[in-house]
Amino acid sequence: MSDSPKIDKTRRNLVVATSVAGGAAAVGAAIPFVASMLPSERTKAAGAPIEVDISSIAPGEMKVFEWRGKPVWVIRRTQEMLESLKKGAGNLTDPASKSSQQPEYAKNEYRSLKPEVVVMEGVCTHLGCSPQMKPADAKAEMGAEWAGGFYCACHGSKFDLAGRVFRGAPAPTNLVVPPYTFLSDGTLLIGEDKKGA
Amino acid sequence: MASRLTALWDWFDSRMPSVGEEYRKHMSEYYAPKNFNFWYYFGVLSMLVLAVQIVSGIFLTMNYKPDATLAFGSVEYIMRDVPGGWILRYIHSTGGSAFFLVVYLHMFRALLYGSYKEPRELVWIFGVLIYLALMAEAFLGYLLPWG
Repeated sequence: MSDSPKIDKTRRNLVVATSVAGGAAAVGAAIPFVASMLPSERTKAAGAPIEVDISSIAPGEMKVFEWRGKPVWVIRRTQEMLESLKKGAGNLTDPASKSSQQPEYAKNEYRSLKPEVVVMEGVCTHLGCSPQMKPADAKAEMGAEWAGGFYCACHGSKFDLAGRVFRGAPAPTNLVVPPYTFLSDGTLLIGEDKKGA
Repeated sequence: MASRLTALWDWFDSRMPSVGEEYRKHMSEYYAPKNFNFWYYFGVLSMLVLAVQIVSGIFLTMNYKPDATLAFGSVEYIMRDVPGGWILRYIHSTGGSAFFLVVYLHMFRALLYGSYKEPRELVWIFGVLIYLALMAEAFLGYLLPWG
């Protein structure tokens, strides 16, 4: 046995059979261990999309909803507010939202599916504080040029009414737009969009 | 494939020969009488149960909350919501019982065949110390659901 390369067939077959059976048992035993690392039902429920009623939001007003532990703003913008977006465009870091995060259907000048309704995560892209809405008549505080938008009290980032960040602010990109879709005119599904939309 | 694995092992063995040496010394080439019967299986079985307890315990830790007010809820969460969590906990609790079963049979073997006699008195004494540690460990594990 020591110098001849002869193989004991019976023994080899036994080794193979044992290895195969042992390997199958190991794979079977690994199933619950791997499965336990998948997201649980509770986790899935916590990350599920939310259905919200936006019919009660008056023009020019904002409502805040909670989705995945983050505030999500829904603002019904007036014609005046939409006009103001065009004026400030020269002062923005990323006016066309090229390096910002938003679904494809919100990558337009209003950053929304419907121009008047804007949906954004109310989390500053700098260090995650939640900015405050400052209407156009807060000029005393925000400067004469102010046409309405958001102000982050933590480090002074300013955003316009489409969540686009003004130059000179620490925030690097515009506010994030989550995926969303309209179920009807008054109901919004935040967290999920239509497939292919 | 087989030759690749052999080459990989040779590479490892030539750099860290102690692993192969210790395995041969304590496991594959350990000198033992050829008339050992099934009573002698329980030592190695207790080692297997220990490995199972360590692995299943680490996976349970991922969803357990070590806090008097949260512990029981987190155990319920493991049993109801974590995928496969119920079987991991049963593996761990049944494994705890199996550990004692296997260790008692291992001790019975020692009594039956006089494995504690000279020159193996220290083997018995160390074994008793490990048994005390096992009881402490099992008791503390039993407390974890805290409710």
